[in-house]
Amino acid sequence: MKKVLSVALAVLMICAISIPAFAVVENSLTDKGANTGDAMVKVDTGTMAGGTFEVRYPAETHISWNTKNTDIQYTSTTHLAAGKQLSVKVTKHKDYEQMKYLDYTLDYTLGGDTDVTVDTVTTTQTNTLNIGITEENWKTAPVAGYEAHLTFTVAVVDA
Amino acid sequence: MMKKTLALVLALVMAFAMMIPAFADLTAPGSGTTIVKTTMTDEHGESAEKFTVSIPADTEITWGAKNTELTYSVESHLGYGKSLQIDVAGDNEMTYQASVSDSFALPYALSGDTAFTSAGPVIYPAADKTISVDITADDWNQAVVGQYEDILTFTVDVLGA
Repeated sequence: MKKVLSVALAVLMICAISIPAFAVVENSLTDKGANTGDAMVKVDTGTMAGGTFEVRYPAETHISWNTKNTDIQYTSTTHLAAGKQLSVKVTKHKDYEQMKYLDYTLDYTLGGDTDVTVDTVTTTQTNTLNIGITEENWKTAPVAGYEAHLTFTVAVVDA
Repeated sequence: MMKKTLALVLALVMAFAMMIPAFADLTAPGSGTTIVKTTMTDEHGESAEKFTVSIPADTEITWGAKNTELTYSVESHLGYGKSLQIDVAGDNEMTYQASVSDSFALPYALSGDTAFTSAGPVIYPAADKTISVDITADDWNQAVVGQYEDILTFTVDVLGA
């Protein structure tokens, strides 16, 4: 208890001796000089220079057997610098041109919003991908848990 | 008490750390991966594994015919490593019940696809298989003319289950 109290008091003391900082006064207004003056106000973007964005997509999607079309939604939110847009592309992973289970494969198509551009400032844009598997492909495939990977690639591009 | 509380909190932290997130986020230029997986049940929750063996209810054999064919069809959608086996058997003699106390026998043999095993889990489209009911001329000549009959039993098994 004494140790805790000592540390707390030390922190309070450090806070008390902090010297407040003020901006350098370039123009001063007094009763003996000008009665108007200018002070410039600037927004410093600092580390936010490029803007921010978020693309959110499901980590995993399950497709019921015999389902011909499955939608996958993803959302994009942007707050970019002027003149910039967000490019979002979705492709089949190079190792998953077909869905796989051990040595079995299942053909599928990837369609929908696979190549979109999101405006400079967007609250939430929802896009939809489509996974297509034909009835014939379902019927010729041994029943198993097939898997495929899709790759999302995002880049900030000029508008 | 403090140690038990701390142990519980640490256990909860570890449990949360192992949870798989439902969503993934990209907040910097680059790439990420989403996984797509099939289930082994259909949209109604029923198993995707199915098979159908269609057999004729009745087959008529013309008197004196030495070979009469009957066809059955097979379609299967089974899981990895499985196959379908079908065996067909009868009593090897047909019976004519002439009266309550009088019956006659007519011998026959089965040939063709009486024992079939699929090469893999999937037979699609459906495949036709043929069985022949064989009766010799001698057996026909010795048989009392009448309506003989027998029942063929189809036995289906899923191998590798």
